Amino acid sequence: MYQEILQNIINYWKNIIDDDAIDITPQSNLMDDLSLSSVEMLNSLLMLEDTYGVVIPEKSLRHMVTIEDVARVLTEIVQK
Amino acid sequence: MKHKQVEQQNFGTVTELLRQSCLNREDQLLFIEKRKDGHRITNRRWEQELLETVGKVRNLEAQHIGVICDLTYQCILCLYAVMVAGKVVVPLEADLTADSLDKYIHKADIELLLYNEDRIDGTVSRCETLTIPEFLARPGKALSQWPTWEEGRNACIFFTSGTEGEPNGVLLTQKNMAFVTTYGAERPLNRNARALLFLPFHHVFSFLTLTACISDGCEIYLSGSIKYVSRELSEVKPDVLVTVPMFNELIRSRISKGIHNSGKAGQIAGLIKLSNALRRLGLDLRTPLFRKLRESLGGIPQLLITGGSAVSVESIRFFDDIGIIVLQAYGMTETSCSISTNSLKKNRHGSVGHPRPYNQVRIKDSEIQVRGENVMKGYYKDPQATQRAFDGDWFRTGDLGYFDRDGYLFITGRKKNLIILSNGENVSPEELETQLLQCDAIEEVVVMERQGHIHAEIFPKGEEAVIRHAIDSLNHRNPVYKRIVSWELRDTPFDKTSSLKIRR
Repeated sequence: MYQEILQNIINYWKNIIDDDAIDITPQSNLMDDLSLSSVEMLNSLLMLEDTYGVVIPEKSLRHMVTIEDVARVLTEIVQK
Repeated sequence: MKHKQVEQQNFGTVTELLRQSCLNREDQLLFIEKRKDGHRITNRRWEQELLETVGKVRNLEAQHIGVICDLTYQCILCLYAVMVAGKVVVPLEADLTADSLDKYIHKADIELLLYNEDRIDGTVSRCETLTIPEFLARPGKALSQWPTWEEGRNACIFFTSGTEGEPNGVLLTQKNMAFVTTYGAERPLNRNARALLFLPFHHVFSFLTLTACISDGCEIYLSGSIKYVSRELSEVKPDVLVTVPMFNELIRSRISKGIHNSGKAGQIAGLIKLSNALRRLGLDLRTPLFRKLRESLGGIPQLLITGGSAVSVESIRFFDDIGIIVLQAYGMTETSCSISTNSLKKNRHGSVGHPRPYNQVRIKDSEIQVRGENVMKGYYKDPQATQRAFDGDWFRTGDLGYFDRDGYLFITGRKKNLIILSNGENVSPEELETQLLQCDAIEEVVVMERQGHIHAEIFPKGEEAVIRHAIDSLNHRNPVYKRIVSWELRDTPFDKTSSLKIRR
């Protein structure tokens, strides 16, 4: 489950970030390495909510620093 | 869309404002909760439930009541009921850790904290707590009539980022909280206007916007979450949006993407050129020319009132070209929100408009200073900070600025050391520096803004891995907007002033 979600998130960002110079890995820091704005982070959460049919509570945002964090938090929510 | 001049009213107190807003509007719709599938509340029900809740607040021993703010009707009931009961409400940010709430509870002498389930991370032990549904389910007798209070009675404590690293509690009165209705400038918030609110109420800007909407008899749509606003816009089709610059950028990127995807970018660029040329000749055809474009964008209103931090002229022009007006406003918690604002008739891009009629503004040593009845009583239990914040009876904003020859106020920078992010959040670098200095591997640190993010420059005295760990754990504790996004180590200590403070 976790691996599938992780891959899905990486693919999503690969599609959005049109820059081959940026290597997107599970350890990529969303705001630093990928230079995402908070708006783009919100949009990506929306996409994940739609894909998995879940609601991601605002308070879990704080725990999402890297791509792997996002995958971990989302896996927990989906499994609940 | 009709822009009606709303009469200037002075209610004296927020309690009086609420009482009058309920008159003759019994069946009018007031709140619509998106979170609850469009749950609707009329004015009659609001008045009845508010007075019931006031009765319950009166039964409490607590005089200072904290409310964790979310965009729910029940939370709004609690916020106003405390003030109408003559007690002091402390609106607080949702989703904070229990640890970080402690300092607010302590600073504002909160005796009881009301919250909705899941909106606090951890368990608060420093004061009594109750969930909002539990509290509202308590038995209690509704007040048979509205109480009256003196104008100077304490009503609210809002927290702002202090500049010495500790948050300041800004004490506002019953009168301060009613000031927003003496706006004076044109507002499109006439009766039945639709407003979609999505900014959190622990900020005075958002709270007073809510109060203005209640006072004016708007239909108030409460957003399900900031995540869903784009979607909700097309359902609600609001007449006006009160926004922060970050949100304008979200809309702007949506518009640009929409234009790009439609394959009509060239055509629209041509229309903008034509329309701007006609405007120079005094003919404004933006409404008909761009109607289709706006309709295709789904629910973006023709008016955005934006505050919280600086809006770029480029962004204002982008919207202006296609007939969406951005009115930039300027204010602080300490001045009960608005100090100055642009209006439909007087809107100068890049400026924050003319001062509101109820306050005087002067420039002293390049600093913007404000005097008037909208100015706070002081910082709660902090006479020294209060004293430092005033020059006689003039409140020192800490912002640098000037008036142009037509009386428009411009802001050029800040005297105080404060990071103001595009979502309107203020972050004190000293607060983060103090937190970082608790790490043994950090000798000196300066926190600053870099490309819209928070950046830390560190002079280390230990291992990089330890520093990395400290920053990671801090980022997990703090709210997202305080996240230290990037950091770097330096080889030499910082330059110091004669008093051994780091020269920024």
